[in-house]
Amino acid sequence: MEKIEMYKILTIEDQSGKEKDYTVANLAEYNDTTYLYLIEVDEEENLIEQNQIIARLVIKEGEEGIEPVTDQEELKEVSRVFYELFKETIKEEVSEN
Amino acid sequence: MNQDIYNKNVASFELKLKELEKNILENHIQMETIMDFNQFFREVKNILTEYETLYNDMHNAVSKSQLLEYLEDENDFLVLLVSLLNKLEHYHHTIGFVSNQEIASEWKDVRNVLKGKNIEKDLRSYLYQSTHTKNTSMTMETLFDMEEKLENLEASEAFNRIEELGSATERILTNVEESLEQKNKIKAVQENLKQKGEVLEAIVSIDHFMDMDDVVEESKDEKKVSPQEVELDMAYLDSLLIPDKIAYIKLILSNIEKMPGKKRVVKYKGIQKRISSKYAGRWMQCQTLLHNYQESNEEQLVEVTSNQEDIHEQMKKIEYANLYADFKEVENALFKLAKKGSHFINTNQVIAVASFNKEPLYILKEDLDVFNKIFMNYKRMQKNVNDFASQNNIDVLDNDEKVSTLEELQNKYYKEIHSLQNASFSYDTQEKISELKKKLYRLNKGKKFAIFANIKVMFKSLALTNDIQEFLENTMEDPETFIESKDISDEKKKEILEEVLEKSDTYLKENDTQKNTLFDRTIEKVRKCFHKLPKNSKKVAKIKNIRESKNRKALIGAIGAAAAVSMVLLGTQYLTDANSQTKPLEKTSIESAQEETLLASIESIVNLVETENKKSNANMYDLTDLFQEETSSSIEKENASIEVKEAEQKEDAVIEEESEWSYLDVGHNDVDFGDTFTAGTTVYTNQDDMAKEENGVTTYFDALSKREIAGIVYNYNGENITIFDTDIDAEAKKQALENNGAKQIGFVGRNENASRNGYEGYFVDDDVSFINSIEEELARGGR
Repeated sequence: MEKIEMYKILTIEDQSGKEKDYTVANLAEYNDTTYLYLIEVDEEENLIEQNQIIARLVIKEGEEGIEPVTDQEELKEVSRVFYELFKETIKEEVSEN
Repeated sequence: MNQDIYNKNVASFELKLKELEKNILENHIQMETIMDFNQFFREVKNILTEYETLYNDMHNAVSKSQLLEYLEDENDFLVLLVSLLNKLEHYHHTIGFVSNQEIASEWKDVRNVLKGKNIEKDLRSYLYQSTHTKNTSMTMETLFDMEEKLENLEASEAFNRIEELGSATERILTNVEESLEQKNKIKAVQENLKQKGEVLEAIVSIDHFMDMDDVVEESKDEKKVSPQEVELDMAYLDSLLIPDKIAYIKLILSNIEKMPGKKRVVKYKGIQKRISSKYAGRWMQCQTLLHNYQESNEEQLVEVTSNQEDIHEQMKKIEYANLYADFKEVENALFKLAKKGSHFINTNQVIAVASFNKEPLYILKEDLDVFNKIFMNYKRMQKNVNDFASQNNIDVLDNDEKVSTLEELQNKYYKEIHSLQNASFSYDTQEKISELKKKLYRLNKGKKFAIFANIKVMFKSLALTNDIQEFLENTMEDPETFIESKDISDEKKKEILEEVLEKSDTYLKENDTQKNTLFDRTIEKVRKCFHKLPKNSKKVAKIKNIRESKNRKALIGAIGAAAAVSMVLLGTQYLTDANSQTKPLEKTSIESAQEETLLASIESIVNLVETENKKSNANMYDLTDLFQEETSSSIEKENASIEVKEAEQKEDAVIEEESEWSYLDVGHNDVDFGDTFTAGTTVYTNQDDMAKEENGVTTYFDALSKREIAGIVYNYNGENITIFDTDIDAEAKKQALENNGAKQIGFVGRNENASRNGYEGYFVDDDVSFINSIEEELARGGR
């Protein structure tokens, strides 16, 4: 499988076997962990903004997977990290415009 | 006379076999490379096929039997030859690469075996004649001479060697795989193989593998090339290993370039040649194939660094690591003494000793004798380690300077390879790339040895049993492979990595002077791998596929546009404190007017998007349909939330029309008493009387103020019903409504300041009717 990078499309399969596509809107290394900010996309790769997830990149039973962050403290810290990353994105856009 | 036997076909076949045998025994067959071997074996197989055809064409069983008798000697020879070549071929294919020297040595064995069989046959015949008849044409002298020749050939030993190669292959591979777990097995196999002498030499390094490129350069004489020699046999090509394919194609190319005829200039990836017009197309075809095979060959070369360590390498690695661990143990003992003395610096109780490792050491005078003994040992072991390393081409990486040099070299090689790969294709650049990759391989090998040795030092100092020590060493050396293994449960992996990290931390604490960059990085790698294991396996969703976006630019643009929305959602996560009521959007320190402008722009975008966001019902976590645990209650909850969603979609128009409620960001669809929510937008009332302080209703609610849910509004059979959390049996009423199909359509927020009822609603700008409906609700006695 390809390496996970920004803007790539991940096909995620839940426990019931249902598959959904998400794009890696942002990616952060924090506390020795890789966190992904995922936004769901449809077949035409349009963003479904209602569905956004922060998840850890993990290896379960030898295969890559994602685990949503549910611990409040961890979520708070990682949210801050992504907040700053998105702010940079907007700053760049605004300065370009 | 049986015409089946005595005919031209059988006669010419017989001649062919005799010619083959003669050529082999008189050493007229070229056998210098793996390609020679493969080509020769192919010819032998063709002869065998021809023999089978002859046999099958015999008209009856009698003829068949007569044919076998007629060609008995040739048959024995052919069967033996095919058997020997089969064993060697199996060995070549399993090992993967064979040096030219080895091919020559094997061929010598094959010839000796065949010669020996001939001499044995003659001896048997002589002995038979001498016992059954009085006539013998062999003198005793000739007999002794034959026996001596047989001895010198060592034919039986040669035969055993070939047998061993054919059957040892599987054993070798199995042991390579098991070598990480059972050191003794490796040693036992090595002992066994060592006794076979030449078999051990057959396990060659990648250097010999690279020598395959010499094949084409050998024949430089300008002999005429026949048309057959420029035919690319695809079936034959398919049967070869990649390095042989490359050599074969190079040979064909070289032959094509020699073909006479009207020439034309042909180009391929920077190579320009004058080729006979008739063969120009074939030249291009061969160049394309060659280029493709060379690319995949290079990928395999780089992969070799992490795959298939042969026994030799494994034993060297363990031997070096043991040596190094012993050496480091002594070094640690010296440092411990120095540490003891360091407390007494500037007193007359210590003596400064000649420094090693560029650090001065202070030793207590009473420890001086012990120090000297240990130091002598240290110097001796240091020399042993360095000698071993230099003899076996291992880089000793035990200080930062060497590590950084290694990394500089690695980067330098990577850059050079990269630039050569981007340059025009030519044989020269390909050879340069191969050379650089060989160097990289050696560097990585050295680095791996050094890491393993350091790990061994650490675990050795912890006095673990051998098996545990080895297992932990191998885990730590390659933690990524460990966590990707499917043989061990995730729980067990966590346990083991935790143990490794605990031991590493303990070791580093006790030996703080022994910290070195390479070792620290190894521990960091283990830590990263530990964090890759899931906290709760049930919540993990598999990644089935990773791909590039079909329109990456458009996607990036969309994500950029959505970034502000994401910021809002993220901001609500970390900017608001659960205990505080209001907290404005946190502003970073502003250093320049430009930043001020930018931040102001960001805020305005954020505010603009918030309104849009509220309308589009953005939810931070829509995990219910992905990550719910499969329990009956959770499935019901999922179904309920799906129903709510569906209801929401259906009643959107109704809701909009009534302008009664808005969905706000609460993080989940099911609202419950005690939930808190954050207003996604600023709200106000334009009813002044409602806004009066005495009513306890403030006129302005900050955008991110948090409110507690005090009441939930349901739509039941077309009627709106509000259940307040202060109702008697509020929970039961809520459950009853929900069980009977009532849909949540909104909620009431608590305002502690409101003296009247303690509630207020959230609503869009000028939705007076909402307030009225609350009034109506209350007037109806909805409480």
